[in-house]
Amino acid sequence: MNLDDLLDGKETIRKKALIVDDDRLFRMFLSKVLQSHDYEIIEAENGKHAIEQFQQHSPDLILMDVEMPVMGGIRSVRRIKEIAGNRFVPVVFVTATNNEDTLSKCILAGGDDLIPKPLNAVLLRSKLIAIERNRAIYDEVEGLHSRMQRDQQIAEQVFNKAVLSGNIDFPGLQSLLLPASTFSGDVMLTALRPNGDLNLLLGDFTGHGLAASIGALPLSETFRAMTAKGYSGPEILQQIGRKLCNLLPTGMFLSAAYVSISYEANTVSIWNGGLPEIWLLNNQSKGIKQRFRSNHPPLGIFPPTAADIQLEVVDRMENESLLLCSDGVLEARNFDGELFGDYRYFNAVNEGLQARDTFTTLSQYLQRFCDDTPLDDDISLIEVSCSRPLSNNSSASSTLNSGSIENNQSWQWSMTLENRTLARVDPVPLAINQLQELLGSLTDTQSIFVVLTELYVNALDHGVLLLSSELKQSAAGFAKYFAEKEERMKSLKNGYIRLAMEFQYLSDRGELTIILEDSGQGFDYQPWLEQSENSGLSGRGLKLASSLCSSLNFEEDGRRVIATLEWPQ
Amino acid sequence: MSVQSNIASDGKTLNISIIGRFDYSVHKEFRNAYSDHTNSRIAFKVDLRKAEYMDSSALGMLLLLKEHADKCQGSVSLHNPQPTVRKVLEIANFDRFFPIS
Repeated sequence: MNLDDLLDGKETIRKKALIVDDDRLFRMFLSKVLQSHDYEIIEAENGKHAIEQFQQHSPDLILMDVEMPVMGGIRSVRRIKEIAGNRFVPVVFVTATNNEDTLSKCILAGGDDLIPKPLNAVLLRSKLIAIERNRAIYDEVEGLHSRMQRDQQIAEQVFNKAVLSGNIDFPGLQSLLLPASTFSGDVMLTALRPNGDLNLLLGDFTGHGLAASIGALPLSETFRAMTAKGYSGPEILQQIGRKLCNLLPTGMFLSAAYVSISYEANTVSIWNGGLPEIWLLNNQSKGIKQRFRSNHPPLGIFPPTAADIQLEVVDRMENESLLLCSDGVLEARNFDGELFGDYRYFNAVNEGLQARDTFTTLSQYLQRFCDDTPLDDDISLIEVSCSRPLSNNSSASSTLNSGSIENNQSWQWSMTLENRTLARVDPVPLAINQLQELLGSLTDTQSIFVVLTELYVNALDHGVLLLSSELKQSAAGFAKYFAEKEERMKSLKNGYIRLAMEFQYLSDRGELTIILEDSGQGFDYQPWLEQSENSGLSGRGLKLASSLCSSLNFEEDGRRVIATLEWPQ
Repeated sequence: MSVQSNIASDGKTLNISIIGRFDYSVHKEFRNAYSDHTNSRIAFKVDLRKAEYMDSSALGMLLLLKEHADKCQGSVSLHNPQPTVRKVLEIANFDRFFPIS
């Protein structure tokens, strides 16, 4: 039943009083006084009888004698208060005794007030007024409480739908998320980029509860929308930072960690702004390979610039994993008030590495430590494997939906990025966005994304930045390659890349032509065209792109590339 | 009192000391310590020598103090953090907003 109905109902129902005394005349006398206060009267002649009457009639007030045959008042009230639970059932003991010990037992048993025998009717009336005043306050508190619970339930549903249910089911990810109240100020988000890269964000808003979790809505929306469009980490984090800065009041912010695992480039990118160290674990050598400290303030304090968001890039290794936690893990307290702390965390991780199951060992360790001690802060613990998920069929899929293309569509779209803009803007998400707008329900933009990305990266890295792909011959060279790229991007002053797309609907099929031109010196594209399947790491990107296109041709010594995709194929 | 404050005789420096836990439980006391001081170019010096613990709400409270100081063209500096408190400030990279000594 709804509490509002209950409250409204109470107004019209007469209140019931249970009078318990072995003296029939005294019961009659009390009845008279209470009836004049509009109470309906129920009587009992001993404590045992009182319990039965209470269960049958649920009275709103009890007047209780102390000493009675069969069962006394104190035992009876103890039982009645147990049965009543949270219901407001005021009990007034009516007693002739002056024995302080007995009087204190009356109150300890659950009595709310005492009134001496012989009874003074004026005193009883004033006590009844006081009791009704308390009842009104109690009802108001109850009403507010139930309204709050109802609001929280609604908010929780919205929160779960908007924030949590959008997460992907990723086989290599294990997480322990324990909120300190209904709502968590911690939030874990996962999403896949169009090329199958995993983007993961762990955030910890200041405080906990509803107020802390409210920022999770704009956060998750921004994170998912930008990931789906193929934006990269720095752009996503910059945008989140700007948005939260506008939305959150001063003093509230988001400590966050971001991880992106790329199965094409074989890299793992990591950023930490205000969370405890992220650990890279090697599950073969059973050690902590690298630690990533927070190198940026939490998001939402000031709008970050592109230079503020520096991701660390390492090579992706099959037998490695990343371990992330919120500060609630290190600051979890046990029953004695001790902190879980760095030392226990370190030991549990080492034990887990030996047992080949870090996450389970660590989370069991942590849960045993906290036992049932109420949490001060939200706890989040995540381990994500760097290995390629078995079910990952993302990048190779080349089927394009054909049913959704309307007849007689054709359009052209192009943009040219020049000089410093090249270092700031990634045109691929912009192009994907345009495609989604123009082709509407064309659902599979995955192949186009892969082709665009590979060709753009090729034009930028080898065309404009003049990076040598020889660095990428070994896996270890990748990190060096990225460092060099970052350096050259910083000092980039001249150059351009022009990206154009043309779409045509030809009687029975759609045809998309992608043209990329760069200001570089061109490159020798013959070798990779002739490369055999297993010839090292470089050139893989172009080969992948080529496998998704119906044709791929270079012109102008490699400064221009023309790719055509068709569907149905 | 877990927050103590005193104003220098020239009215240009307000010293605020935190004693014990620096978290949401002291937010009123902390705000009361500075909110009436609006002298132009006032320096707020927060002494953390006796702060045993600091959480993210305390970081938020420092940002609120900074906002208050910015309004009166003043400054905020943090002093003598103990190792555990210093670590919290480091993780949050708060040295970008406050001089810490």
